[in-house]
Order: sequence, then C-alpha cells, then structure tokens
Amino acid sequence: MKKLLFKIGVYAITIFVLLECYVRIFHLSSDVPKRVIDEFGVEKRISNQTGTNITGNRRQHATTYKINENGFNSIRSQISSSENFKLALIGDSYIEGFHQDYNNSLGRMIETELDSVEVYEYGCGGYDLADQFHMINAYKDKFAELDLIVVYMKYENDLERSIYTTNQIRLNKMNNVVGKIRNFSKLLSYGGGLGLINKFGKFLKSLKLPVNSASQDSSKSLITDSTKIKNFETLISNYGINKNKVKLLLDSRNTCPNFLAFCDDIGMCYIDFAETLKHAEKETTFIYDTHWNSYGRNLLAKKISDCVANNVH
Amino acid sequence: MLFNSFEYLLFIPVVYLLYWSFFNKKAVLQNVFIIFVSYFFYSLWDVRFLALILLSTVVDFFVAQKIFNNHDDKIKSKKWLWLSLIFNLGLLGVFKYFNFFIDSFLDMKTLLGFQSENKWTTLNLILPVGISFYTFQTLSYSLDVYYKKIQPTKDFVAFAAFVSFFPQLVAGPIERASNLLKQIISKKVFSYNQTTEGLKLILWGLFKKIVIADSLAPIVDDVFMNYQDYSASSLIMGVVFFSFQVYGDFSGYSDIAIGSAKLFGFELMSNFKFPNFSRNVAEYWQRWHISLSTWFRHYVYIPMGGSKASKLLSVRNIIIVFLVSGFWHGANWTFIFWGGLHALFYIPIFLMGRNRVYVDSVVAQNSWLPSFKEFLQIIYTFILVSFSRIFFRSSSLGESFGFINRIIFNFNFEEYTHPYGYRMIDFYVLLIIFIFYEFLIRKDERNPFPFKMKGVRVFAYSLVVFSMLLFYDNHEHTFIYFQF
Repeated sequence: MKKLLFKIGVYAITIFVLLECYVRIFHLSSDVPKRVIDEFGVEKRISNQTGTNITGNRRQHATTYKINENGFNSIRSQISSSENFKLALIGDSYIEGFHQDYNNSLGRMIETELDSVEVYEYGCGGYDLADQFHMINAYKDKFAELDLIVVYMKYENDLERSIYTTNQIRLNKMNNVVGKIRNFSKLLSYGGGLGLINKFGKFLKSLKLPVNSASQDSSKSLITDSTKIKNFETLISNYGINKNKVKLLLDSRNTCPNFLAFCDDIGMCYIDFAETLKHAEKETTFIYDTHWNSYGRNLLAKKISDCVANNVH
Repeated sequence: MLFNSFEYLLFIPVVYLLYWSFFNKKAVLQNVFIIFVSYFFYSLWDVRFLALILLSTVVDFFVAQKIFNNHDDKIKSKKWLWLSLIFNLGLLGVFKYFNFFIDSFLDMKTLLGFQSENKWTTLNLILPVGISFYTFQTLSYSLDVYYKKIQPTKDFVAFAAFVSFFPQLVAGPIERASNLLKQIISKKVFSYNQTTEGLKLILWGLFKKIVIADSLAPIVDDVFMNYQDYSASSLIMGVVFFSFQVYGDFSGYSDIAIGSAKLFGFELMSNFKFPNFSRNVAEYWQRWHISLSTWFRHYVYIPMGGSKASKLLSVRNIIIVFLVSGFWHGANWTFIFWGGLHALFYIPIFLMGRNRVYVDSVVAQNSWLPSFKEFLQIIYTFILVSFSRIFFRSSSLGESFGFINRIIFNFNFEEYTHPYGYRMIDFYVLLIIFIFYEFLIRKDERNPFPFKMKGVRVFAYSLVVFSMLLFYDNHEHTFIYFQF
C-alpha cells in the first residue's frame, strides 16, 4: 500500500509538470494583466501591458489586449480636443473586452458606425455600479470634456452596494499565495478558465454542513429589488451623477420593472438592448462564457450608435 | 454520484483506504462495508429506491433457497421461479413500462376506431436508476439456481453485496452469481497489480466519457434536435458522432466500473471489446454490451431452443431476443424497432452460418493492418449499426423516419457549423486518433496502456489527462445508459 501511495504521488507530480509544459507550449491559458489603484482611488490595470486572452479549451478564440496609458484596454487614451462628439463607455469585463482584439472593440465598432464620434473605453472586469459611478466622480475634470457617458449595468449583481470602497479581496487575489501560484502555474490558470477550479470550489463548499449554506443563501437573498433601487438612488446622489450626460446600457429582460420605472421617474435615461439581442439571427455570446461575440458586439454597436444619433431612450 | 464527478473522485479513495485499512481482516467485514458504501452511493441518486433494492435482494435470496430445496419437485421449484420472475419483471413493468403499455393501448384503441371515454391513466413515476440492471442480475441468480448451474448461498450479507455492489449497480456490467458472488464470498487480498490495472481502466474510461462522449454530445444533440435544418452530410456526420458518443459513454462507464471493482479486489466481466472493429453484426453483438447480450443468450435464447431447434424456430428465437433486447433499453417503439432492425441484420448471417466465425479472433489477428476485405467488412458493419442508431437516438419513430427521409431524398453536401461555433476539425482529428489508438490496443480491452517502458506509459497518461482538459465541457453530462 505504501508503495502504491508513493507511486501515485510521483506519477501525479510528473503528470502535473508535463501538463504545465503542454499548456505553456501550446499557450492555452490567458495572460492576466495586473491591477492597481490610482491616486483617485480608481481600480484599473497597470498601464502599457499587452498580452493574449484565450477563450475556450483549445485556443478556440485568441485575442490581443493592450492596456493604454489610462489603464484600460482601449486604443484611445487621452481625450482629444477635437470638435468630434466624445462618448465614454464604462463597464465591467463586457466593456473591457478582452474577448476581442483591442482594435476591434465595441468602441471601435461604434466609431465605424458613426462619423465624427470618438469613443473612449473604461472597462474593468468585476466592476459594479459603485466602481463606475465612483470613477465618473473621481475623473470628473477629465470627463467634463465628454459629451456622453454610457454606463453598462447588469441589474443582477451591479447594485449590491451603495458606496464605493476599494475591492481589496479582488486585488489581494492576485497577491496572496493562491493568486501567485495560480498566476505562476499556467495549468491552474487554464483550469480556472475552463471553470474547473470554480466547480471544485463549489464542490468543496457543498461538503459543508447544510446549515451554513442555508445561512449563506438567506444572506444573499436579502438584497431585494427595493434595496437595489435604494442603492442606485444613493449612488446617484453620492457621486453627483449628471443625468443629462450619463446613460445606462442595460438588458431589460434581466432587469426588475420597478427599477426601470424608477429610472423613468427620476429622469435617468437608459439604452435597452433586450430586443436587439432577442431578435438576433445567430448566437450573440461565446461558447464558453456569456460575453458578447463579434456578432453580438456588432448588434450592440449599432444599437448604441442609433441611440447616440437619435435621442437616448 | 456520477463516475465523472468530483464527488466520486473523493468517494473512491476514501472508500478504498477505509476498505483496505480497517475491513481487510474478514470477508464478512469487507462485505458489510461494501453494502454500506453501495447503499450510500445509491442513496445519493434517490434514497427512496433503496427499499426496492433491498426488497429485490430479500425476495431472490429466499426464492433461490426455495428453488434449491424443491429441486426434486419440478412443479414446486418452477412455481418459486415464477415468483422471482413475476416480482422482478413486475418491478420493471410498473416502474419502466406501465405508461408505455397504457399509451400504446390507447393508441391502438384510437387506431381501431374506438373513441370510448378514457378511463385509463398513466402514472407519474420516476424510473429508479439501475433498475433494469439489478433486477436482471438478481433474476439471473434465481435462474442459475433453477438450472442447477450454481447452489444458492446461505450468506445473506454476501448476497446483498452481490446485488448492490456499487461499481456496477446503476449500469452494469450485469454480473452472474457464478462470477461475482463467488468472489464476494471469499476474502479479498490487496494486490498492487490489480489496483494499478484498475486505475488504468478508470483513467481510460474517463477519457472515453469526457473526451469522446461528452465533447460530441452538444453536436449530436444539435443535429438530432434540428435535423430538418441540416444537410444530409451533416445528418450523416451526426449519426457517426452519435455512434462514437454512445460507445464512449457506455464503454467508458463500464471501464470505470470494472476499474473501480478491481480496486476492491473484484474482477467484473468485460462489457465491451472494441465493437467498432466488428466484421459483421454477429461479431458486433459479441463485442457490444456483452453482459446483456450473453444474459439474453443464456436466459432467453437458449431456453427457447437457441440454434439447436429448426432453422425456422431459431430465426423466431433470434427475432424474439432482439425485440426483447430493444424493449429492455426503453419503453419506446424506437427501441423495439432498433432491436428488430438488428434481428434483420443478424438473420442472414445466421442463415449463412457465419454468426460464430469471429468468436475467437480479432480484426488483423496476425498483422499490423486489416486486410482490404476486413476493412470493407468493418465499414459495412459500422454503417449498419450506425444506421440502426438513428432509431436508438430519436424520440419517436416519426422523427427517425423523418431523419432518414432527409438523408435519402435531400442528399446534399454542406459543411456543418454548430450554432455556438465549435471548431469541427478538432473533433474529426480527435476521432481519427481515437480509432487509430483503439485499433492498436484491440487485442486486450483490459489493458488500455500496453506500453512496456515506464516513461512511455507516464507520457501516455499525461496525454490522456491533457486531452481531457482540451475537450472538457463544463456542463454535467450523465451517462446515457442510466436512463435504461
């Protein structure tokens, strides 16, 4: 038995090392750009990083990202002084767009649709509305030159807090031992990309006593629609959001009708792309995750362009 | 608990270590532990149906004793056998076939023009996992005792372990008491070689399940679900993919089951012997789901006279066996039709006396490559078997014929693209490599890594695990044969 356990250990280590080599040789895992918090307290990527983002098991979809001077994945960086209409897109990973080449982003697609429009992208994976509104407030001097700010919002999980605080957990993830190991091992990073690590984590959680999981569930369900609306109201007032300049980009299929009614009441405009995606002729997302694929982004770009060209909402 | 889940990945080493550390002194201790973990394993599917397994165990244990005690009195022993048959087949009848019979009866009434008020009602029953497998296993025990092939055991614990043995409880192989019960009764001794053989089989089974079956599943599902939108070439591709999917799924399951049993010192019968290299349909049935096909041969075909009766009666027996085999797979006319189709494929081979010519050989027995004739035979058999699988996969006969109709009458070639945009070349290359590798190891289904050099073996293991990562699909896929 001892011989067996010893051999299993040796085989496991050898196989792990070989797998690490295979993943590196075929470059199967994504490069992950590092994050930083700037002097305004805004979380973003460290400037001037480039790398490859991989979607899917077998390098099904490999794209290049390039973090600009501002710390965001966008071809444009400093806001120009031209007479063009200037639009900012703010959001989470959907706007950050590692799933597309940086020079084929949602912003670039909008620029192709409309003449004399410049689009500046400020997307960062994991952002919620507090992150986004805090950024608008922190960069208010810089953003004063913009004509319109479109904020992408996912109602399901973007309104869980009413005040911005830096997300130390997310930052520490990269710097703690587990994060460093994961960053060092391309195999673990690849496994994480496939959802294997998440699945394993869920399995480990499921081994806990049901009492714990029940209490976790109940704490999660405490964030009701009314709380979310209240959070939204607080965020707008705390960060002095200019409703004439800031518009939401959302999918009404996943948004509470009360929230939409509230937006109408307070005069907060939104671009609803539910119908656009609903009537799409092809799949609008990738195989392995829910981010928009090229076709989905194209539809979104057209929708936003139409709204910019006409009146929003 | 699926074999390809994290739960099983944790379950199997824990049970293994406990088994060999604390329960290795006596056979009875080992068997009590096996029963405990097997019932626990099954309870994770559905705790309510544990009672059915227990009931089936109790009934067949005592019925077999009664049959044995009344061997001198043919009528009495036959009565006891009937009790076992009625009980086991009754369980299947209620849980698996009741709704099918009611629906078919009502359809027949409508077809004959009777529009009387519908007083019959179908039951909202869940099919207990593995019921078709363990009822056949217990039934075989009573039948073996009746035919005096074995003596009944007086050890209830051993018998309960035989019925509930977790590696093969939910989808076989359907074991015979003459093989498994004999092993259960004796004390198992730890064997390093047996454990490593088991681990290799588990790894190979996981490869077939995760890399072949699960990766092809979304494509097969799409083709069969939307067959009206696809070209004939795409439909043919879908059928071929399904052939490999169902093979990878079920033979993968069987390998994991056999490998898991080996870890605990048991040798289960082989269930698959590379059926894709069969040179005729008769050979195919000697290589596909062997535990079921031999079950039908021993307990249905031979008792009816087998091939020792006249040609006409033998043909009747073959038809009955294949129809029953089809019906065993599921309460749907598609399965019966599938069985009937195989009877049609088999009968000409039987009449030509070629049904047992390949019993003791494998393709390219003494050469590296198959002869041209063998190659054509393999392709022809694969086409027949794959064609029949259209009925196996479709949800209704109408759908099956619609599918075939589209292949025949709308024949055209168009490149297939999956709605999610899977890169299809990956799957074509995968299948070519898989076929080639299976051909290399075709002579021994129990040894999927027959490399003598340790370094080559480790390299092969790493490639297998790597391919699992390459083709891993985040969705949970259950095993196809669990539904039977």
